[in-house]
Amino acid sequence: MDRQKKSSDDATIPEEFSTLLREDRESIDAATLSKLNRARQTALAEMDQRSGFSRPAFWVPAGAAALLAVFVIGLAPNLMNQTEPAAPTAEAAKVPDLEMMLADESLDLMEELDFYLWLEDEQTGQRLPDNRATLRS
Amino acid sequence: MDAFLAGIERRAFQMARIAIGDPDEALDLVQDSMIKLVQSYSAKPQTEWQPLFFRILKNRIIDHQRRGNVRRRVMAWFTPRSDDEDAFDPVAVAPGLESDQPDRQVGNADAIDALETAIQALPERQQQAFLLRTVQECDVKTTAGIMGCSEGSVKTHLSRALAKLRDELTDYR
Repeated sequence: MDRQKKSSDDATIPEEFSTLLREDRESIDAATLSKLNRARQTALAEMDQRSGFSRPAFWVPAGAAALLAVFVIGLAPNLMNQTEPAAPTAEAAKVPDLEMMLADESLDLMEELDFYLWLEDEQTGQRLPDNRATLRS
Repeated sequence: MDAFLAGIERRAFQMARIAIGDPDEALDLVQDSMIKLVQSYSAKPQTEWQPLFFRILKNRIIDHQRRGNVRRRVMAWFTPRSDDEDAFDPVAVAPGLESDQPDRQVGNADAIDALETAIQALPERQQQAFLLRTVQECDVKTTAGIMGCSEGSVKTHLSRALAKLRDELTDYR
């Protein structure tokens, strides 16, 4: 590389400065060079670790485990509902939507049913047939 | 990446050691910079590794120098002034640039020591411009990219640095 770096408006770096610095660099002792080598190997080992994370073989089982977890979590409520002992009574069997009635959410719906019926009355000005007795039985 | 790091490690170590004056700290800075380059920029095109690496190293040197300045100021506050010869003198016990360091094996060690002392005394930006242009032999454009300034600023910093160094080193020229 050109030791005298000079352009029309660039300062000239004295040759003696460059020479001194080059000699200094070339005289670095073996112990320091060994440490530099170790530093480089440490950095390269970091790159090897990172490339290990990017390998497909690593991600495939991890991804499969993640999918399985999502699947299990997503189906868990249904699975739990299906395993609940829910022997339908004779009266409950009369209700068309048995599954909805046995779910917890339907209890909230039942409690609010009066409100919805009232709301509908207010909006339409007519009274809807009251099927609450049937739904609650 | 191995070949690149092997090619720049001596210059990087020299630049860090001259800037901060401590070979062991310089080794740490070089290693940290290598790791940072590998962690964050190994996917970049190879032509970008050199400016990226020396920008990382430059920033680490700056951080180290500024921490050292803060530490020295704090020490100065807590160190009582005394003319006692036994008073603690941090300058005397600090690692020096004299040729008693084991990595110095050149005949004109005095001249190198004087040069490095003078470089250390340069203002931050002048020091950066000088080290990047002289030790790393980066061209003006690359130096400007590393320093985050214009090419004109690089030339200005460098010419001022050279003027100061010539004044300091008249006895050795």
